[in-house]
Amino acid sequence: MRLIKGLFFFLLLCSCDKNTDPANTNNEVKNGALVLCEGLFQHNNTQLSYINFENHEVENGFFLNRVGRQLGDTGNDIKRYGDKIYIVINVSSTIEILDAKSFESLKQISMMDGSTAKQPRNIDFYENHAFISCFDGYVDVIDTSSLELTQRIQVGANPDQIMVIDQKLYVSNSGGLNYPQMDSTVSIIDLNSLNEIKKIDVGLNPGPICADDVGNAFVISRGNYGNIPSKLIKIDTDIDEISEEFNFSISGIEKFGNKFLINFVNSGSGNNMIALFNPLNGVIEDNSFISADQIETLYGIQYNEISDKLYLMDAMNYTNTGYVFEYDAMGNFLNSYHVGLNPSKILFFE
Amino acid sequence: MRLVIISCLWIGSHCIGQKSTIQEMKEVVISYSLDTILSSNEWESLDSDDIQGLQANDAGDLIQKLTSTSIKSYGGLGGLKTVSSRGLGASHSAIVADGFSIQNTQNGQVNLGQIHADNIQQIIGGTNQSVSLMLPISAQVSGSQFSMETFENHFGNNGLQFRIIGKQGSFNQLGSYGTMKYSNKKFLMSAHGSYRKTNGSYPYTIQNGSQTIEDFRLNNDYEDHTWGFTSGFKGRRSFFRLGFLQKNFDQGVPGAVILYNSSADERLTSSDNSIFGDYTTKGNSTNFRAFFKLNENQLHYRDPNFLNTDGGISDMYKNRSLQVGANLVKKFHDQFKVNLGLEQIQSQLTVDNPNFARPIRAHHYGLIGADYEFANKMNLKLEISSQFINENNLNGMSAINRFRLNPFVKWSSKEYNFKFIQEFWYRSSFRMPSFNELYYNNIGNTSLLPEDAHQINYGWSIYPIHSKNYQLFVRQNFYTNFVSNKIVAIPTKNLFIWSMQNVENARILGTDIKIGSHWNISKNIKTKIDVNYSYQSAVDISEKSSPTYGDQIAYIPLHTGNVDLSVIYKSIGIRFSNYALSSRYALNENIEENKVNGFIISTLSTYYTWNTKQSHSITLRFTIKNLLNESYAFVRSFMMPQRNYLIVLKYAFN
Repeated sequence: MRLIKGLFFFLLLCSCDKNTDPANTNNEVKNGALVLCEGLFQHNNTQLSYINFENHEVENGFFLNRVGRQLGDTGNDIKRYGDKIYIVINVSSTIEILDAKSFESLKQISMMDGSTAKQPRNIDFYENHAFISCFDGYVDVIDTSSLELTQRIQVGANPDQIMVIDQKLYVSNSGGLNYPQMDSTVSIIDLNSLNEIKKIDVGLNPGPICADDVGNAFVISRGNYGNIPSKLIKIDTDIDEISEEFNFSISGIEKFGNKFLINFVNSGSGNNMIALFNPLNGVIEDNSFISADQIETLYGIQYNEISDKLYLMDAMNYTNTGYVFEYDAMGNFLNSYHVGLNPSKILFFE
Repeated sequence: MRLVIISCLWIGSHCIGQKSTIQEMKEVVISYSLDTILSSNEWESLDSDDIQGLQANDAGDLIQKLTSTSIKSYGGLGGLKTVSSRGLGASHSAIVADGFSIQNTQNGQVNLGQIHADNIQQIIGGTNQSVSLMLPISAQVSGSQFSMETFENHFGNNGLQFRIIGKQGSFNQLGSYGTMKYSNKKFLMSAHGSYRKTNGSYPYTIQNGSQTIEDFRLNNDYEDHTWGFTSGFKGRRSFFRLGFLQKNFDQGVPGAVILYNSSADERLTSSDNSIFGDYTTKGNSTNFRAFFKLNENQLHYRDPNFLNTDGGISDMYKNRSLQVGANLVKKFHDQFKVNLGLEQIQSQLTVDNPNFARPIRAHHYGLIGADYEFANKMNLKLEISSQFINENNLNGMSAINRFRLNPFVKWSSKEYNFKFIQEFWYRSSFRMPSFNELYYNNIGNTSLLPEDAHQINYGWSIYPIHSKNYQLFVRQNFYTNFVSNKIVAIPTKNLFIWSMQNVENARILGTDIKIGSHWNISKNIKTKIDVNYSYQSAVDISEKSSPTYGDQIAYIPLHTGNVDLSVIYKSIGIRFSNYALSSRYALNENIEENKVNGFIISTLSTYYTWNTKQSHSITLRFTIKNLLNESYAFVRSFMMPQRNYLIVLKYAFN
């Protein structure tokens, strides 16, 4: 047997690898950011990349290096609430909860309903509850102290984005798994009674939600990626009715001070632009606030209020490892960081 | 997720004889005799001894023993298994059984895991039309061809023959195969049936960081049954065959091993019905074959846990095709012959989902070639083929009609009394996008271009020793291929919105070497050693600015190899078979995170045959597969079985 193994040993030699970043398992995390890199479906390669803004080093495999195992398949959201970090893993159907200082794993919550994966998508918080949209048509409520599931609230089809605004939870029911007959509603859950109190029809395939400084909710109706274009819908949260519609082709939205950065397609040039949108008067104030020329596939925009810097995430062609680009608040390029596959969300540490 | 699952469903016999002969459909070679020198094709094929010695579960297990092939297996009996050759995609490979193409226009790939190996008598792989000029034109103009011959569909002169096989193996694997064949100088009548079943719940080990996970594959059960009959009439120079074949499959779709989520409930049920027939004449100067094959494939895909408002998916696909064609080889004198061919394949896909396209494709093939031999030593072959594809979608936008001309040029020389052969050839070919790639809901792209391939090859083969008791054969090929407009599924809006795109170009540089040795040590002891090794550097040359420019293409191994040793002593035989695959990358970016480990899989098989004077024989075989108990995967997260066992009892009459 040894002879056979020896005979084939040379066959197992492989070409040189272009591995990028050495592991650094320093637990002291400050002035940095954890980047959730979604990975690719059925590859079990979701990872956290840690960017150190002081020395500009990147540690890929941050979770693996500290917890000793992989995050799983297709990470979808990461948020910090109190002294805990919550990571939502969609295809593995888990919620990973880490201590926000030691980065020790506190718990892995399996999001299975019998033999069916609930496929959690996004998370938000209110008082001592975490709310998690699950693609099986529910919002799961988890007690942030006991880390136990306490309730399931039925909403629309394939709920996706989720946001707490003034004691209410706004849930965009994408219905994405019913293509081409997708959902078009936003569910509103009263966070005191934990019941769905209303559904608003906002247009096909509701997605990202953002709130302005006066409590209005803005929801992107993503259309069908074909003949039904996307648009931005403004909801007056006092009466939970649509108050305005903006018919430009928009795919992303991020709060930036008292304004929004939006990713939209310029109807004139057809170019993908990152624009500055004023939610108070509904005007695009700067069509091209940040040049996206060096970005192949814009996959996320995030603003760090404390450092007053902007971050754009580039998913490249979705199968090559991505980049995070750093800009100052005026939209001037500062740095770029090579991170994992499909970076989509950032958690900042001061 | 559904999109990816569906995409996963998817899917010159220049003999060294001492005179030049017209290439023709070869009769089954079942021989261990070294009385005649074995041809290059015979060295490049697996014969019945090889096939029985390997105790393969399916045709994919056999094809992986041929040089320059890469198998992609998603695991388990009946699981999706495809073959690609020399860095070309699996859809460039034509699979032919008994002269009839096995096709699937819906997904463009043939699942070799569903072709059982019990009745395969010979299998030949080729890239330069060396298999046969009587194969359907659609196969001849493909990037590579793999041709199988089965027991039931060939004329012999043995009168009544029976074969009955029973199997039992690990993971509750059960198998049976029975055939009855009567053939003489004028008639062929055969009927056969087979059954395979396993629960597929094999253990696997997977590394998760510092943790080692040991678990069992779930929802990996498989059951199939096949039956068919063939009848034929044979004249002095011609024969006619007509046959029917039905295959039924029911299987779980286990999917990838997903960390922390073992749920898997998808199922596939399919049935495949074929009626086929051909008429062949073989004369001194003219060979002619006309054939047809009518096929209907029904596939029922179910996912009860798909999170849509219907409470799951239950889609029925019906893929029908009619293939008709004719081949003619005319020899004008000893040095010159011409071959002609025409073929048409009419395909149609219907789906019970009203949102799905209803495509109809008419694929027309034409071919003309000439072959001239100089001084009985050199041979020049020129050929050009045409293809016109007419697309018509009855429910939505149609893909664009295509017309292509593809040349094939080959020069060969035979020196030193045919013991040293060289050949140089160039072939251009293409493969059409499948119906799924063109039309599947939101991922299909009707603007897709065909995927083009250009192959250039230089090869030599030598017979340094050929005596009555010992033969040695060495062959080596050097090749370079270019593939453009590779069809790849990529996310376009986000990770859940995928689309098919022509986005990649690839350059392949490779070599393969084959060393075959047959040695009859004594009257009672015969040995056979086959070694092959393939090197394939298949790199992405799509965009110089891309981070993957120059990187090895995903899932194409740099190194593959086989070392097989068999010894027969009287009625006892033993075969030790080893298959090695170097590490590959799951994605085109050649970084450590994307690496899929290489492996060596060893199979040990022994048998004993009891022969009686009345032409009855009983053979008992025992096989240990994955002898070293390797934990391995061809495709990331699709774990393969570890060590497992198979016992086979075979009864044969005549």
